[in-house]
Amino acid sequence: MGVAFGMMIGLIPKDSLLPYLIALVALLTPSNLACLGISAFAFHTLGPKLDPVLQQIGNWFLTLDALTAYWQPISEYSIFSWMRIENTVVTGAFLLGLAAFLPIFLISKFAFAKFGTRAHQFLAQTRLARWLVGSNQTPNLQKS
Amino acid sequence: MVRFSYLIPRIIIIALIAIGVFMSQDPLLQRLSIYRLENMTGAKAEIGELKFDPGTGKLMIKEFALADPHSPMRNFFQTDIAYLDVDLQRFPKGQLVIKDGSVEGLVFGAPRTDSGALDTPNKTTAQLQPESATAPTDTPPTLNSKIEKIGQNWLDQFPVHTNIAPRIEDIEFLKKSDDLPLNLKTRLREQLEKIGSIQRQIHELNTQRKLAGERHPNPLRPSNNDKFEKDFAQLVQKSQAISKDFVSLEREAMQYRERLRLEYENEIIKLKEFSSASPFEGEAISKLLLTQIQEERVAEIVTWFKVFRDSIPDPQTSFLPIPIRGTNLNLPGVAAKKPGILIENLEIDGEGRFANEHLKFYGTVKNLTPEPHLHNLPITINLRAQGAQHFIANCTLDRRTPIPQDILKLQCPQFVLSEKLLGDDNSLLVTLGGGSQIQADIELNATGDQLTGKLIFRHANVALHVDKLNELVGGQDVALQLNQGVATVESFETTVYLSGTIDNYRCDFTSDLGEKFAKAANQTLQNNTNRNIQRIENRLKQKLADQLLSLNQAMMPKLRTGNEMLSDLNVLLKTTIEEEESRQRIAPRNNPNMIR
Repeated sequence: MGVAFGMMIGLIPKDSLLPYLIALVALLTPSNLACLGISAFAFHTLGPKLDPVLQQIGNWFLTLDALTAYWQPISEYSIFSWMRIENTVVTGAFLLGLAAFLPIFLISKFAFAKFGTRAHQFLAQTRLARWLVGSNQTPNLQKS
Repeated sequence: MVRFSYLIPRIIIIALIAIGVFMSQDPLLQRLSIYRLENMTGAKAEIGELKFDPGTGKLMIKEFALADPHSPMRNFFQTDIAYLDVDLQRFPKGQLVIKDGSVEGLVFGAPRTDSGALDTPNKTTAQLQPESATAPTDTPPTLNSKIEKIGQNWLDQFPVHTNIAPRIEDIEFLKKSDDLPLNLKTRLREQLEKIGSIQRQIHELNTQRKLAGERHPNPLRPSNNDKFEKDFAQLVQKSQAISKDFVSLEREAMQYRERLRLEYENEIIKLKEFSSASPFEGEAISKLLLTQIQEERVAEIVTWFKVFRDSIPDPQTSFLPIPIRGTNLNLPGVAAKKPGILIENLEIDGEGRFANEHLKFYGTVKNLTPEPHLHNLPITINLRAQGAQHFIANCTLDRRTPIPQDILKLQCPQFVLSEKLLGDDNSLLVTLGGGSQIQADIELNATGDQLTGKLIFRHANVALHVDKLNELVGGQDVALQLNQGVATVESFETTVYLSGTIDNYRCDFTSDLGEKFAKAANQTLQNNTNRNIQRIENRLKQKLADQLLSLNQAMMPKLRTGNEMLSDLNVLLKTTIEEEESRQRIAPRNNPNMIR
């Protein structure tokens, strides 16, 4: 779950209030904070490269005729302007994040189940891990 | 079963973050402000200290500096301290609105010790540097030739050439000799001599006739009669011819007298023409005297206007904001987006360089925002500046439409002018003495590159001096006279109208200087001319009187004498004829056989 939340936080531009709200929600869930951080950093780096796609998704969504009637009542909430929903990349990233949340969550769960132990062993052998936990101890990585 | 035990440490983490944010709100806001400003302007922003009271919305910023994105080694502006009132009611709507504020120690264009460029500048654009724009120091070469042309036109159109005032040396009548013309005198003398000669001849003839009568009492002697008659007939003929010549001479004398009167009257008429002449025409004088100074001044002001426009922070051109990701759409039904940062009213007090002059200023800035196209009011700047020149500037920068519309109203209440030369060296050159004061009201409107404007210059304590005047219009003599008149011109007003583009504009002006100059000059010339005319008229009268006296004295007695002599001659001739006729009447009675 940490990877999925991190993906959402990383993709959405940080001048919107959305990633901070998502981070707050993520903190209230039993997600792995380390995975969340690594995932957020990775997708934050990747995000600008996806801007053309995000823009297209955002533009498609924001110009949907079916939603026209809803923008006005939504905009009356003060928080609307801080979220920058009208920005195509923000909306596109949010929608992509939402759409990819479950697949990412499932994939990451499967990956951790399948490769978690081996990854644990591999990481435990690294100098960094040994330096972090002490040279004679094996780091006990929490399951995602 | 869902475990919630993890929640307690998470809530503690959130609480710690919240406390941390609250405790370090000022440094965080400082960092956030710097980040936002750098993104908006594309140049380094520095804030020494920031304090914010979320309860009242009071914001204090110390030692704030923003680098110039176009000139990284210079600050766009820096302030010592700024006190700002944030409108907290509009903050939840995503707007940072400064309702009121004051800035002290605002300095524009201060140099930096390190580069103000961002580490990863997204772009740089070449733009006019405010400090590189200076007022033109040299007159364009075309302006001098233009003034020369105006001067030549003025000379060509000048109503009176050569003589602008009557000169006693030029009055022909006064050059005439008081003596009579030589031919009149000679002819009169000859005529008198001829009359005398005939008188003598008649006397001689009579004497001879009487002697012959005594010697030869017979009047019938044909030889005596024939000779006498022949001589007498010749004398009569001569007498008639002389009488005719004398009458002619007398007529000529009268004509000469009339001619004298006529010449006198012609000279008087010529003089009267001078008295009514007003050779200086106001509009032409204005054009000649003020074209150069006005064109130079307008060029300077337009350059100032350009510098002023470039000096004022223009959100659209002054900064190089980092482009945002994506596109902000205007969603249907959603109210138009308002500017993220808006300063509604800001009092400023500081100093800066403007057109290469150091100025201290204070004033107000209203509706300043980096997104002026989203605000419903234009940016207005009202400044009072004190430096080498004191001026009040009211500037409106309207960036709500794609074409920027700027209005600059500039008032210079008192600007002391140094000595200036007006006009053209070859026609009329006037010195405008130093120390005269100008009050200027300038209004310039720029819509895009299109420029219109009205500039009013009111000159006071003016001292004019005519240095040079072309010989064709009177030269130095008249220039000296003009100086008496133009000294009375103490003030004048010039209105300049601008049109065209900022780089290629046209200016037309009207001024009452020419009118005042012409009026004073014409008045002085007329006064001097009238005095001169009076003097010349008196001289002419005297001359005429002298001429007539000379004529009367020289001719009249002689003419009278001549007339008397002619009268005597006629009497003599008549007497002689009568005597001869009576003698011949007696002779036939004594001798009826006498054959003549």
